[in-house]
This record gives sequence, structure tokens and C-alpha cells, in this order.
Amino acid sequence: MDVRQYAAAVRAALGGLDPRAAAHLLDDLEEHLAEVAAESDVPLAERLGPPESYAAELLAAYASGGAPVRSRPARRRRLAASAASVVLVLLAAVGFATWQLAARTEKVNPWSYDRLTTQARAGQVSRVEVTGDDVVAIDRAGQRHDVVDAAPVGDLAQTMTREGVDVVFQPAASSAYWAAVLLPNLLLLVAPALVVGLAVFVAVLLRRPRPRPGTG
Amino acid sequence: MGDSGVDTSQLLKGVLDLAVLAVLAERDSYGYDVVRRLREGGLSAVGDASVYGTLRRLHQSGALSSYAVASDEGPHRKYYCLNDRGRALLDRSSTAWCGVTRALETLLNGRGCGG
Repeated sequence: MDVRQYAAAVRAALGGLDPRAAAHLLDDLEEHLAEVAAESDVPLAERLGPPESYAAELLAAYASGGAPVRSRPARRRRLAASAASVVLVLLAAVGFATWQLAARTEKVNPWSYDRLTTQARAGQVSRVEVTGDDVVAIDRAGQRHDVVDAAPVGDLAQTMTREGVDVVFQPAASSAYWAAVLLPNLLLLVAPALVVGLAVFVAVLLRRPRPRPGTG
Repeated sequence: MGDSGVDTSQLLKGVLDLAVLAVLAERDSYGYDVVRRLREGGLSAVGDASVYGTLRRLHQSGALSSYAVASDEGPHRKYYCLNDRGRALLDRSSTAWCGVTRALETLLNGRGCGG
């Protein structure tokens, strides 16, 4: 085992070390070993012991009392954990927003136009919301009903007003409306891609780092 | 418990920084020269990797400076020297060391260093 081979084996044994710490620790390892080798004909492994023990002793002396030497896997694990928590929080936020939206727009059994007028006459309708062509009736209990096959909006408004029902016109497809409907759904679509991306990211981070000969 | 070799290397761990600083205070040296001088100075049990690792750590912590010198026999040699921080560290460490040795001499009550 010559100097190059011995040094390579020492570097390999320290493969899990933070690359910057390793680069600093092993800065002139080859030159140093060359000095040791030049002094005697006895093979390096015989004089210094196996490269793995040499690496362990080197690291022990380097890490004792001095700057903490952090291994790369530990740092990677922390990075992966924080990335995972960010995505989890994001997913929770999307889930919450979607649930809110669903709760707000929950519509129980749709009403026909006849049903609407009957209910309005009976005083069971508290409000009618008109959004473009969509008509939604809100009954006294606060439940929302899609009104299917509604009369032209003008007629409907007249009839409802006559029965003492408030008619609220909402601007159709305002940017705020679309933002409220589209954004959470868009995020929901993106979420699986995020999860897959995270899985790949974590896999890359946790892959065992390979020793890089020639550093430093 | 262990043989004397193990005991010596255990003791060395605590004082290797001080020994390396002391050797470099005398004159600048490259890595293997430090090992050789420590052994000539009586620390025959000192490990090559321990000295080299200690040099790198002291250098990293800012106690040592280094410079390259071309060598006839092969690649350049990295010489280490004490800087102001290293000298201050050596002063503090040797004061502490003297306190410990005085205390131990008293505790050993003339038993030490005889055989």
C-alpha cells in the first residue's frame, strides 16, 4: 500500500464527514504521509496501523475540544426534516382552505323553481343570491339550495321581492370569487407534485454520501 | 488496569495540544517534523494521526498559521508556526499545566517518576 492508496483509504474511512471539515482535516495528508514513508522502508500500514484506525485517531484528535465536527448525514437529516415540515404545513393550509370553501358552498338538495316559489310563499326562504346565471336560495335554517331551471332573473327577482324575500346580486366571476374557488383547488392539484418532489428530495439527501477522493 | 502504554496514551490526550504548541514555540515545523521532535522529546507513544489531527485542529481554531516551503526531496512542506493567539494559548495552557503537576506531585507524595 503506497502513500496514495493509504491516503485514499483514510479519506474513504472519513467519507461521512462534513465535506468542508474533511477538506480542512485532510488538507495535506498526502504530503504528510510522504514524509512518514520517506523515513523508512517499512510499509505505511505496518508503521501507522490500518488506514481505518489512522482515520479514527485523526478524527478523535481533530474533534477533541475543538470546533465540533458535524457529520454530513446528521445535517442532511435536519434539512430533510425541515423540508418535510414545511410541506406538511402547506398541505394542512390547503386542506383547511378547501374545507372552509366546501363548508361555505355546501348545498343541500336542489330546488326547482316551483319549489322555490312555494317555499317563498310559505315564508321559508330568507334570501336568494344571484351570481350570473346561478341562483341559490337560502332557507330559514341557513341551508343553501341550488335553484334549477330558474325563471329569467328579472322575473325571479320580482316574484321574490313580492314574497318579501331579499334578492342579492353578486358580481359573477369577480377576481376575488375565482381566487377563492380556484386557488385552493389549484394548490390541491399541485400538492401531489409537491409530495413526490419532497420524496425525491429526501431520498437524495439521505443517500449515503460517497467519499470523494481528491478533495482538498 | 491497562498496561503502561495505554495509560500513557490516555494521559497524552489531555496534553498533546500543549506539547505541540511548545514544540512550535521553539521553532516552526512541518507535520512529520513535529511528530519526530515530540518523540525525541520523550513522548515516544505519541501517535502520528493524533499529532497530525491536533495540528489541523489548532490551525482551524486560529492558534497556528502555516506557510508552504519548497522541498528538495518532494512536494512542498506545510510549515506551522505560532501566531499571537497560539502564544497566548500556550501561556494559559502552561500555567494550567504547572498547577496540575504541582498538585499531582503533592498527591503522589514522592511516589511518582521513580520507577
